[in-house]
Amino acid sequence: MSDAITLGSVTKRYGSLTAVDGVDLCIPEGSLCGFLGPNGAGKSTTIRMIMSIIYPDDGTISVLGGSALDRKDGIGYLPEERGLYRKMRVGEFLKYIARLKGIGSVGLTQRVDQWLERMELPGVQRKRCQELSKGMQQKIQFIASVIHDPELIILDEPFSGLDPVNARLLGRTVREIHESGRTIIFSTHVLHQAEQICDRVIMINRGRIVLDGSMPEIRRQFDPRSIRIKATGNLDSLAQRLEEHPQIRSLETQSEEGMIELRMEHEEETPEPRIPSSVLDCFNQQDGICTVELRQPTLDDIFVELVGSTIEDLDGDS
Amino acid sequence: MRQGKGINKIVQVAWRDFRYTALTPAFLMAVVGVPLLLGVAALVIYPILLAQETSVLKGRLVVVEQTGEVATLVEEVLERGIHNEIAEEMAKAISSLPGSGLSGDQKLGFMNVPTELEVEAIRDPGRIEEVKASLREGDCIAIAVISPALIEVPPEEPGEDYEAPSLELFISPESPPQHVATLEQLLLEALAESRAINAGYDYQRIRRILETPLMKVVRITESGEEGDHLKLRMIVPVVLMMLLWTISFTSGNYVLTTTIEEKSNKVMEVLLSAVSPMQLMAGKILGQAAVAGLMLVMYGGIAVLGLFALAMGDLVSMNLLVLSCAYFVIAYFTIATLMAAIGSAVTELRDAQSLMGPAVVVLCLPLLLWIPINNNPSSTFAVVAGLTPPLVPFVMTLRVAASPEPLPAWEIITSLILGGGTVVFMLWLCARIFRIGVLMQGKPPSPVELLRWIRYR
Repeated sequence: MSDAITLGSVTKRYGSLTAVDGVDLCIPEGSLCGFLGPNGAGKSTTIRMIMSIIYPDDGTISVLGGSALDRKDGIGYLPEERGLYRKMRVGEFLKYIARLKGIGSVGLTQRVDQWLERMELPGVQRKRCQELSKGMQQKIQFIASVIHDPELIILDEPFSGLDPVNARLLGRTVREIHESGRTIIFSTHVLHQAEQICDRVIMINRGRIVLDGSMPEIRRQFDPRSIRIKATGNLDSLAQRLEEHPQIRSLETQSEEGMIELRMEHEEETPEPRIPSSVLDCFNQQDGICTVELRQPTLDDIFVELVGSTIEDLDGDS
Repeated sequence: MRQGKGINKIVQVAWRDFRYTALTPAFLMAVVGVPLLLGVAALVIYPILLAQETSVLKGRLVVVEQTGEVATLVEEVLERGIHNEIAEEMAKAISSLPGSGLSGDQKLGFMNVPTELEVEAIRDPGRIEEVKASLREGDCIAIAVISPALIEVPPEEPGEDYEAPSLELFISPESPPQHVATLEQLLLEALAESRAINAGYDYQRIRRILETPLMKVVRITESGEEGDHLKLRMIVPVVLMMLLWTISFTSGNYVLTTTIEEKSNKVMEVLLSAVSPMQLMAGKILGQAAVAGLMLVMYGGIAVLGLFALAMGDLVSMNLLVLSCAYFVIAYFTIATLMAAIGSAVTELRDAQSLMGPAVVVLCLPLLLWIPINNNPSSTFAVVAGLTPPLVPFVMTLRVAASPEPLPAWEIITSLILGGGTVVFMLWLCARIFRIGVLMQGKPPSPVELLRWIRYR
């Protein structure tokens, strides 16, 4: 399978600030990839360079085997900065964008109608864009980015500003488009959306890629799993036994709440989540255990672990 | 194939800009409706309005004088008709226009105030207060006080202590201006006649002597003789230059505002995902060029058709029309590219004003220089100004139209080359600013930043 996007040592500077710092990246065709990172990490700058809207100071970028300038019609792009012609009618706006993307006028009206139906916006063709709610406008912008059935779709923060119902509809549509063989890359702050939808996650921080892999790979990489035990009675003896266990990396006791939270070392040979039997034996020796909860790290946990410290640094600097 | 797609995208952008600028009710009303209404007004309604007579000057005019001579002459003037010099001059001017439909004897209705006046002479100046009271009560409409010095012939060489006598006219607060003007004409004519009689002259003869004849100016050219319209010949070049200037600036302003609108609406990045900055700029400029062309056809076309309808087509030769179109293209593209660059560099219209300031000052120069250039289109100053970018299109249009003889070919060719070169340079310069500026948000760039954008690879 060839790569839809290839970045080789791409660097972009704005004066003294290095927004993107030597990024190497390959996104294979047919992947659904989440592009995560805190504000100012360099996500939108990277996406804009991929789109050839701005150009890197160093490095090479290949999109669909060439320059994005030559492949604009094969790419769908939803920018972070949402924009519509406020006085233009919805149908005319979508047709205008479709024509700019190389779609002929034959069957264009039906195409627009079908997409509006699909995004649960029937009957808005004659409405002016300014008459729509913010959420509806965002769905129109999404349609504008995919109406020409592109091979590669780049969505910059597609879920921001959407209510849960519309976010779910958008997520479902993104998955459907992906299942039809399209490559999709989207940046987001809504990490659980990325976790649910993506088959691959790239995390960028301060212009550098700090994480790149499939969700199972990332989970394995960032196990230790945590176990949360709720029990009645004295927890000291249990805590003492667990502290002596070789597979326990750290332990935290919250006596008032009757809770112990412990983190285990990662077992390379048993990647699937499970509680080792020796740890279970420790639990069995304790009376009054109510619940034992095995928790895998979420993207939120990983995000905070990878990015949190640098954000604190930045806050401290500022 | 790729080039064809690129052109198609430019056409799509151009059509959208044209469609949403020109094919709107407000624009059609302004550009199509207003000239049509003006044409209808000028050709149909205005002559009818001009022919309308004003209200009747009716009532008692009291003339306070010691002899009663002027009052008698006022009655005589009323009987034979007031000699309204201004109305007669205007009637002459209009009747000299081909197709005006007015004969030389016809007076303009609005200048012609019908009168039903009763004149009363009061020889006792001591009764002036009594007469004023009757004016206040509405018993008379005006009082003219004629001092004896007024009917004497003024001295040929007045001494330093000579004080020119004045005619006092008292009127009621409700008197309309036309009535007052008619009364002034009436009294002054009677007074002039009184002076002539006192000096032993035949006033009617003097009037006939002073009456100015119609003048017919004929320009003798190589191809024969043709009528000249001196006043119009002086106005046409200025009107033509103003038309080019106004339309170029109006359309350039559309480029500016639509670019700012797309930036402030945040739609710019959506567009740039589909087209390159150059395609976008080219489309916008071409779209507004079509708008400018439409305006030129409407306003310029009506003006030219009007001249031909009045049999004054010789004022706008084919050579002038073709060259004006060429200079219009240069003027429009020079201004539109500049406006596109300014529009791309700012996010709000008020920020654009500060960037536009220096450019507008330069481009306003033709409006300040038109009098010396129009008076002498072949002067060294006019030649230099006509070959100085970015004034070339405006000054050259003025010169070509104002010059009685065709301008030397080398001047025309050089100006077209310089104008074309200016357009190419502006396209290059502004395109470099545009490609960076369209993605910039926030405060407008400083001149140093603009220079950096131009140099940016």
